[in-house]
Amino acid sequence: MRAIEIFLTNFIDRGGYELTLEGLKNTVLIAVIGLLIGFILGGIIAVVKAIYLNSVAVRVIKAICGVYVAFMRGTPIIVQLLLGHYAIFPLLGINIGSLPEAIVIFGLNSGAYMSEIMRSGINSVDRGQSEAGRALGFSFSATMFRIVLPQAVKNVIPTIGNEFITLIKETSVLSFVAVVDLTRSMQAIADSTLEYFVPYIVLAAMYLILVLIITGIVKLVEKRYAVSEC
Amino acid sequence: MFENLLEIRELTKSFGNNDVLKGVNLEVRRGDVIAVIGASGCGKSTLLRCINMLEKPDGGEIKLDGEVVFKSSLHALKQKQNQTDKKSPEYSALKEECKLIGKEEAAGEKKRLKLLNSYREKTGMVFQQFNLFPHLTVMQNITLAPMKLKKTPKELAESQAIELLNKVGLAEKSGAYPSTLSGGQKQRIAIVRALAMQPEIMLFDEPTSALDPEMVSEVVNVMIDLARSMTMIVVTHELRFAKNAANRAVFMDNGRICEENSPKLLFNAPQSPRLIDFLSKVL
Ligand SMILES: Nc1ncnc2c1ncn2[C@@H]1O[C@H](COP(=O)(O)OP(=O)(O)O)[C@@H](O)[C@H]1O
Ligand SMILES: [Mg+2]
Repeated sequence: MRAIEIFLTNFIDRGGYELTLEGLKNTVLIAVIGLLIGFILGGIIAVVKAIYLNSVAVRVIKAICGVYVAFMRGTPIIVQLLLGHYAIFPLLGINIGSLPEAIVIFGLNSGAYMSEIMRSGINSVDRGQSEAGRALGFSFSATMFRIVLPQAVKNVIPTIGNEFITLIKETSVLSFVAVVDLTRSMQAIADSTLEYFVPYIVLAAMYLILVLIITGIVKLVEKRYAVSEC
Repeated sequence: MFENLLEIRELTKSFGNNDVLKGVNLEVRRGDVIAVIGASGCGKSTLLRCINMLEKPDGGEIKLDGEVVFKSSLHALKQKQNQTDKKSPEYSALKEECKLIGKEEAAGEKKRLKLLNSYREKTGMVFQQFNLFPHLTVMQNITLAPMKLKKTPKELAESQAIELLNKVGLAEKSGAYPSTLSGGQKQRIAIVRALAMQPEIMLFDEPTSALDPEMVSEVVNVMIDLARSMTMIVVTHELRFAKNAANRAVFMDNGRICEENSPKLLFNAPQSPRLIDFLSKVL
C-alpha cells in the first residue's frame, strides 16, 4: 500500500502526470502519423511492384524499393533511430528535433511493412477487376487507385490494425533516444522515487488500454466498410 | 466513312510455347453482329482480349475505324530468322532487318501506347464473370468511367445511366451494391456499364456461361435488343442469340478462323469436318 501511496504522491501531487500525458501524446502522435506515412509509402511501393511494364526506369525504381524494404525489415528499429539521429539527419544537415525525427523514421519503417501488407491486399483482388477497369479505358494507375486499392485496403484492414498496434508498442524503444514517450515518462517517475513496482504496472495497463481502444476502432472501421457490400 | 470498322490481319499470339492464335483474319463492318463459336481452349477469349489489347498480340495488325492499333511484323520475321540456317547469308540479312524493324516498331509502339486507353474507350467488353466493382453501387459502376474519362458532368452521366438501366429493366437497382444482385442482373448491369462509354464496338466473352439457366434469357434478350444498333463480336454457344441476332457466324479451331457463314448456314450446313464434329458435340 505504501508503494501505491508513493506513486500517487508523485503522479498527482507533484505533477508527474504532466510528463505522462506528454509521453502518451508523443506515443500516439508518432504511431498515428507513422502509420499514415507508412500507409501512403507502402501503398506507393506496392503499386510500383505491381507495374507489369519492364522498362529500365521501372526496373531501377523496383530495385530501389526492394533495397529499401529489405533494409527497413532487416534492421532493428532502434538501430534505425540511432543511425538517423546520429548519422543520416546530421549528414543531410536536417535539424528538425527528436520528435519529428522519430515520426519520420517510424513512418519509413512502417512503410516497408505496409508495402507487404498492401501487396497482399492487391493480390487478393480478383484479376478481373483490373481487367474491367482497363477495358473501360482507365490507365494502369487510375485502375489501381480507383478500383483495385479501395478493395485491397478493405481486405487488409485487420492487418493494418495489427501494424498500428505493433507501432504503438514499438515506440517504447524511444526511451533509449531523447524522446519522451509513454515508457520514458513512467521510467522518470520510477527513477525519482526508486519505487518501480507500481509505475511499471500502471505503464503496462496504459499500453493495454491503448491497444484495446485501437482494436475497437479497427472493428468499427471494418464494420463500416462491410456495410457497403452486404 | 471507313467501310470496315475493325480489321484484323494475320493476328498471332503465343503464351510461351503455346501458339494460341496462329494468324486470325477478320473484317468487321459497322453494324455487324458476329457470333464466334469454337471448342474450349481454341483461342476465342484470347482473340477478344487481343482486340482490346488486354493481351498484347505478337504479330499481325489490328485497325479500328481506320486507325492502326497494333501492327508488328517483327515476331514473324524473327521466327523466319530462327528457321533459316545460321551460316547462310540470308540469316545475317534477316538479322539486320530484324534490328531495323525492331527499332522502327518500338518507336511506333510508344506512340500507340499513349493512345491505347482512348482506344479501349471505343471497345466495350463484357466478361463471363461480370467483373462489376463490388465497392461501388450500380450507379457508380456505370458512371465512373464516363465521368472520369469523358468528363461527363455527374447529372448527365446519371441521367444517361438511368436511361440505359430502364432499357434493361433495372432502373430500381441504381443504388444497390453488386453483391445484392442475381447473376442475370449483374450481367445486364455490366452490359450497361460498357454501353455508358458509348463504344463503337462491343465484345462479349461467353456472357451467359456463368449464369444459372433460368437467367440466361434475360441477358440474351438484352443482347438481341442491342444487336439492332451496335457492332458486336460475341463469343457464345447460345443458339438463340446466334440465330436471331447475328448476321455472321465464325467457327474458330486451333487458333484460326476455320469457317465463316451466315448463322443459319453455319449451324445447319457445316462444311469442315471439325465444325461438323464440334456441332455434333454441343448441340
Ligand atoms: N494468360 C495466359 N497465360 C498462359 N496461357 C494462356 C493465357 N490465357 C490463355 N492461355 C491459353 O491459351 C489457350 C486459349 O485460351 P482461351 O483463349 O481462353 O480459349 P477459349 O476462350 O477459346 O476457351 C489455352 O490453352 C489457354 O490455356
Ligand atoms: Mg474463353
